[in-house]
Amino acid sequence: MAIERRIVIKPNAPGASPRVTFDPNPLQANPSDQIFWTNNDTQAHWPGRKNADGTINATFFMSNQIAPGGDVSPVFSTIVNDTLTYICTIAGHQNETGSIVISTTPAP
Amino acid sequence: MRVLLSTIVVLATIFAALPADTQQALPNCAPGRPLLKVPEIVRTAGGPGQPGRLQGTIILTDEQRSLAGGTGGTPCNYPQLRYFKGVDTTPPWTSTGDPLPGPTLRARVGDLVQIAFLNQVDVRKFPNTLDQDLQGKTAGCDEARAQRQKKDFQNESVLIYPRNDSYPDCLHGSSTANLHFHGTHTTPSTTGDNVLLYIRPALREGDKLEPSDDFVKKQFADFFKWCEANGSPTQWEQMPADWRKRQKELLKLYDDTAPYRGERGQPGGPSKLPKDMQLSPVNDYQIDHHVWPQYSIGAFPHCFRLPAYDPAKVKMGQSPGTHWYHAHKHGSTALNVGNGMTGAFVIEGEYDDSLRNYYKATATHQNWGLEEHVLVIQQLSSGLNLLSAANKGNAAPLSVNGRLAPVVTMRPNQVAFWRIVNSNQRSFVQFRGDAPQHNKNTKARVSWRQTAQDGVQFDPKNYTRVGAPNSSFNLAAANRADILVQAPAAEGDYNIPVMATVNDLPDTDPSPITTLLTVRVARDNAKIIDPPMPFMDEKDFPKLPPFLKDIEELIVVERHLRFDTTPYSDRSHVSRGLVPPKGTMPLHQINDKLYSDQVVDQTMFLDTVEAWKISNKTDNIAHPFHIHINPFQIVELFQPNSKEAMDPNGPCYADPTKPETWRACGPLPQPWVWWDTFSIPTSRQEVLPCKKVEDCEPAAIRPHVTCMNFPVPRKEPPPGVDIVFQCRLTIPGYFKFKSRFVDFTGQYVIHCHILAHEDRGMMELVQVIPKPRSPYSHH
Repeated sequence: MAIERRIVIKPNAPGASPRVTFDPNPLQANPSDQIFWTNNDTQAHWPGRKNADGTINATFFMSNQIAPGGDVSPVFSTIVNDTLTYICTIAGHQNETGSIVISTTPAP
Repeated sequence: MRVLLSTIVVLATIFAALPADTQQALPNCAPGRPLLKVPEIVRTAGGPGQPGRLQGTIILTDEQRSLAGGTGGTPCNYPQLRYFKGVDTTPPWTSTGDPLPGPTLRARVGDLVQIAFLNQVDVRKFPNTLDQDLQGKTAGCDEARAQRQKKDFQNESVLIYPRNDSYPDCLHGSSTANLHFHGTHTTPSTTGDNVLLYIRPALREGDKLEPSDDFVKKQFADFFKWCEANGSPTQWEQMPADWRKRQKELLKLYDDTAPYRGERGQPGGPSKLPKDMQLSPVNDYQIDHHVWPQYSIGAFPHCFRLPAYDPAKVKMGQSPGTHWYHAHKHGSTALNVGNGMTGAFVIEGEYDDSLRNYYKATATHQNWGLEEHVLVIQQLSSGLNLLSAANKGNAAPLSVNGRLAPVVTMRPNQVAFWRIVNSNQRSFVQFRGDAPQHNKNTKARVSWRQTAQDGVQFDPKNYTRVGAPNSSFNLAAANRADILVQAPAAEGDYNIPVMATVNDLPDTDPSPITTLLTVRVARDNAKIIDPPMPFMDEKDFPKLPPFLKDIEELIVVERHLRFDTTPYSDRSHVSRGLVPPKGTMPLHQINDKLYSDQVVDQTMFLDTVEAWKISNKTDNIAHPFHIHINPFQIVELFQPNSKEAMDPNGPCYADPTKPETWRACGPLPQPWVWWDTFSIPTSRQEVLPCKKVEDCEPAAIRPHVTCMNFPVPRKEPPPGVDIVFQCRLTIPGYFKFKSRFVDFTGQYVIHCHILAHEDRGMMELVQVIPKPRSPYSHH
């Protein structure tokens, strides 16, 4: 059964680097779950897939950036056991990274 | 320190007040725990001979709740779910982690209902949460992407929803809500059973909500006082001026600050939303044109009366019985109801009085008394299959009052009264009187007799015929049944067997029989029932009110509504986890069209009686037809897949070569049963040897033949083959009903109660208008 699982983009202390933290990180999920992000920062963010070869696919999870102030992304549906590494694709945000671990082990 | 101590005392008090079985680690999805009683919002009686009042508050909010993935309770997840929370309930509402339905509303025929509905969902916790067009990210529908499945392409993703769905007939806007009081006979307009309203979540500034609870409370108190004196309002201007002013301000604030394509505006504007996506202009236009405004922010006051039958005032009364309420915002009913946004609505009357009186304890009937259980069946889920690529399409397990296979305790020889609501977003629940309840070598079993359907009591003759002991009965999604349940003399556990399906003929369905709940019959020496409580006889059955007698009036209009799932496609590529999906998703249509909020599909004159034929061309789904406001009586039923219709040697054979035989053998026996939801019999499909319509014989069947690439939805196609070209004959199933469109004008809807179908367009807007007076006369 599909479960909606959320990753919260939380602002760190002013001046900290990176400026946000993804919570939880990593996110544990199961195949068929629906994953989305909530942006609680005051700037837009746009998590994209970071492939093993270092290339970045900005629209892997969503086709647009997430507005600040509590905006929410559309859902991304997982399908196979995998670890998906993501990175904020907005210029200057490349130190904001996280991952999603998808396995058949029941996730909390 | 004092604060800390007080907190500890309060927490200890709350903890001690919880049932022992709730004091355990969360999440907990274990089956076999005691049945939970849902807290109730109860009425206040009026003076002698005067109607009472049901006044209360329902808050749409969210919390983490235990959610079972399978019938055994595993996996047991703990997702964030939206739900209805009762305020000032009896007993007080507590959060135990169990996904309880909303508070049970308990009113009486004639009462004024005053429900403050507050939408305080935290939209930050849910995806696809806004209505209109989701911040410009799509054309209005929810969006779901998925990782591609094929090994070499797993670095890519694809859009798996909305595919061929389009706004507004698609999944969208899941945090906007409203309330449908399902089964009520009242006004569908303004503050009544009005499902055309969109109640947006309260706006948030940190933890502060707008409108605030205090403001809502004051404004609604004023309005409820006005409504009690004047009845439901007819014009927006009759609402408190401060409420109207604040709603206008909040709608503007929403428009100014709503995010759009990754940008968010500031209070005072300018809005980032394009003009045609803003809510304020819609409301302003409607108010200017004396139409009740569609959008509210944060709260809405329902105020309507449940009319007692009085031929001088109304042609139909509110039927006393088991009704319910649920979220009904187009585009999100399936997900909302799947989250658990449902509750029972018990409307009492002479029917209940009569049952209780028959079973009351007396000197000669020791320890009798009619114990009642309100049982809300739910099929809970946090997300929808259509937005999940890897899901196999398995239906969620059935729960009762938030628990899997709970235990109800009865005493030997006791008769209890169960009010059952099927609030599933999808599955029917068939109660099987023919299935075993235990594996012991004894004939002892829990028996039942049905007394009411869809909140309308049976005619006493139907109590004997339809409500015969242990008759199997099918509750499609939204159906209700009241049953008298009799425990045997022998102690032990008795499992109530049910089958979950979407078929009108569950006897032919291979779905497994599962335990809905367990009746634990246990002796209580302090309360021994003597003599044993019997099922009441027909002669003692509650008297039928005059307005529930069979409809014998002149039929003014006959209509035919055709339900169909088309093309004969399926979503097998998605349900089998094949990404990217191929083909198109099926469309669920009525009369070959999807719902449009700009088209009134059926118009009925007030105080007229009509006969409708509701047919189904779909061969694997018995779409449950539902109409708001007025119940109906089914007078004819044709099930082309029934044994009778399939028997070439029988008198009721539906011969595929003779369309004139595709009909019921005869009318249903009177008295007819009242319903407000009924699953339309599935069609029968025959594969023909012809390859073109014009080659199919005899010619009379050609209008019913379709030749195309059919998918193979229910069996695996050969490797590499997904579709096959066939000509198929469709023999539609149907039922005919009679209904009185009386007492209330206004717009409301009919729809399929498999709610994802409704969200995706299997709905029509209908209206009842005053009968025009003819300008001509004859002398």
